[in-house]
Amino acid sequence: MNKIKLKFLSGGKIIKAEASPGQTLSWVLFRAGLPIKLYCQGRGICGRCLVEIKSGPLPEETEAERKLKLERRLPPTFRLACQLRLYQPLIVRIPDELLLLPEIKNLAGKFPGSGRPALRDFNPLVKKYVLRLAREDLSREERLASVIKSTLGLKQLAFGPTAGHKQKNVGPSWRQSTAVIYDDRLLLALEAGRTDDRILGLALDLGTTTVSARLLDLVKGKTLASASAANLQAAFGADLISRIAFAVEKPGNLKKLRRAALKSIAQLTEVLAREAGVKTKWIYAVCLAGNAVMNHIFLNQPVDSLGRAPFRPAFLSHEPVPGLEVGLSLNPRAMVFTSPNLGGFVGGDISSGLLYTGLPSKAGNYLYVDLGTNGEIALKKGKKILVASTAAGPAFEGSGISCGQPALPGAIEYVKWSGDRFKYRTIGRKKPSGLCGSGLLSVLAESLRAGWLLPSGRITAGRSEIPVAPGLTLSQLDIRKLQLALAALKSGMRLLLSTAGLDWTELDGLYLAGVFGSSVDPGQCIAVGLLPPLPRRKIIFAGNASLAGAEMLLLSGQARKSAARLPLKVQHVSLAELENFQGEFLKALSLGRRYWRKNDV
Amino acid sequence: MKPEPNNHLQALSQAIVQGLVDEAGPLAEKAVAAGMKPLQVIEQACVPAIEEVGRLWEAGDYFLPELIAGAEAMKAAMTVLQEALKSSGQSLKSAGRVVIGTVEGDIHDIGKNLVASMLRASGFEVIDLGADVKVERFVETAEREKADIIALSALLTTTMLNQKRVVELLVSRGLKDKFKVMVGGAPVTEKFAREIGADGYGESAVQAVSVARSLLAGRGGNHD
Repeated sequence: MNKIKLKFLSGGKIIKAEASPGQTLSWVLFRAGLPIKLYCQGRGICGRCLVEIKSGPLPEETEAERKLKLERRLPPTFRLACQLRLYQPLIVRIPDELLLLPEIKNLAGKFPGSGRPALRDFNPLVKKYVLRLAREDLSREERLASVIKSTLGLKQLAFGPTAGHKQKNVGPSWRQSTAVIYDDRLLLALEAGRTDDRILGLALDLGTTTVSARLLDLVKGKTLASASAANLQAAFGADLISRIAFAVEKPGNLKKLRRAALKSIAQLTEVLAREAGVKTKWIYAVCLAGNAVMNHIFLNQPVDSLGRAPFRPAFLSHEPVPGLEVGLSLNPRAMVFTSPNLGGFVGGDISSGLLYTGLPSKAGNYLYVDLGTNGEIALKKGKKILVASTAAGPAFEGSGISCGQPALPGAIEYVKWSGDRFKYRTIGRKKPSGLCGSGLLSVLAESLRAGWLLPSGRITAGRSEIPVAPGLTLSQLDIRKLQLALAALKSGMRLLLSTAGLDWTELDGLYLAGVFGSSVDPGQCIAVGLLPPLPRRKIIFAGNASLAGAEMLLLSGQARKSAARLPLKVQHVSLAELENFQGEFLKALSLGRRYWRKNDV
Repeated sequence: MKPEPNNHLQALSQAIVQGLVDEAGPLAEKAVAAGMKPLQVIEQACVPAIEEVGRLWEAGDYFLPELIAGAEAMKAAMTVLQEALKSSGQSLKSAGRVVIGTVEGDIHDIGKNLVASMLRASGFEVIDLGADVKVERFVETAEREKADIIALSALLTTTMLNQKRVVELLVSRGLKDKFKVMVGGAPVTEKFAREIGADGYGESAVQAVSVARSLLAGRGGNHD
């Protein structure tokens, strides 16, 4: 079949690509290494993947495109990448903001909160031991096994499938060998010579929108580098449900999702290794903290059951898997430890976040709220932990908000009303390009204070928008979307509290993890009504607690033990099925402190 | 203020627009006690009031809580007025009978409840089957209740295909012409509605009412 020649203009460069007749532009872009964000999973309804045809015959418009153009009065050269099918050579401009940036953010020193909490023990997931071996020890596997077991005092030690395969190349260097042992129970490899000064682990937070990773030296327990990047799966849908819908649509799609995640991880790993001046083949251990859907996709488990009520995961805890089996390009014998799912949409990112805060073993009553593309909530009371997920949606990641953007340089992260205008602060002190989650929350808080907004969410004085900065306004519809996201979280907290028979005044602390970095002001969170008006010292910003938890799992045997026990301690609550869900949700739509008033149940 | 009929109507109308659920019923009673005909109260106060609520919603002034409160206040007033009609031997002509529910696999029902409230407030008889409703149950209930419309809600891209299954079941049982099917929910679009063979699509609860009305325009109901 004849290939169609295409040229893409992107970021000041020209990228050439080829397509088969009838392929959609979005798919060709993905294959060409220019994945774009498809918010509605390529269904042609969100109208956000607009590209401009600079040259070439204009292909016929689909109905979705016609409708959108009528609504927005767009010129005929503006087309939807997810709808446009290719039959003729074209030159197409791809707007930068549409690209899923492979750009990788260095996170060095950017973790808010207290950094790593004191470890209860230093017992890395993978350790190295130097052995003195005689020639005859290496001749037979059984002999080698018994020598290693007795030398190290690890009676239960098993051999990985290819752990000893180098034993036949017996040379002088093998007299001194280094055994690589996973969790004191599995021999992963035997390296020639003394290599015990280098062994690395990778902590991974696989999120719906973002993948964050940290590279650790498992000898010293030191962080070598941290970075995050977009999850390339966003090319198949922005939110979890659209990813599930895509995965179950036809065979092979789950694999596409898996490959996209693996690609994101591989890119990140390479950057981390370069940054730290190490080789990726030194990485023997990975701790993965992914949300429930990401965990399933990563481990090649069917996601069907997560797409319909009662939204049950296919597994909670999962056995460690060889990295090679799941397609990670690290050391070929590397093992992956997965932080357990806790039920429904409460996944390994929450279990690792809970471990990071130490909440499961703390005395007292605590709430843990993770605000990301979903909003997950955990409530600890006594020995019990209740967990729930809410449909908060990605509004606080800036998605679906007219002036919203992710927390990147140029995003307004904080505002203060000065009496005649909003004073703002941007990330990196750059010119403002949009508002990120903390900025949006901040505008809501200050607008309420300044009288721009009523508690009902209505913009006052007959206006239809709030001007925040030059060219950046928050529309009434934006505010409605933020109200819905806030209400999902607020009602979720309150429903969990009432399920446990607890009042918010009885809380000893509240952890807020996720998209709001340390830039968010707890006072503004309270003013908007996102959080109950606890004393400030009780509100703890945990930042990317999932990643920090994954790091702990790499380093601490106690943490891994707690992780194994956690699913047994946890009770999952399906909020939407609670009798007072609707009433609570509607009440929570109002902005301001009122929702948390005492005795207003 | 003198208890003039117009004042009663105005007060009732305002109570509905402002969603004063506890006041709407007693105000309707007062209007009837003052000698006004129930039908007149409905036509001159209630209907314009709920239409005003819809207008305020569409304009962005009202959000979900105000819309629901308006519908609830309307319901309170209508309960009183229908009772009064009945005791004078009259009855209000139903705008149509609707079987509504959230499809199988989906437990989200706030949107569906909202549509049901607005339909009720607009004179429809509504049979609400709740959430996670099996395909067969929609069809069987519609037949048994001699419904005019089957209204299907889905909030997830993974469950909206069950809306299609309801249409397919109607076709396979030769019932497609007997009922109008309308669909809605966050991921549902007009295009999707057409593709699956639904007769109508509403983007919001307010739109759902006008869609339901237009679907039944010029057609006799299935019920008496």
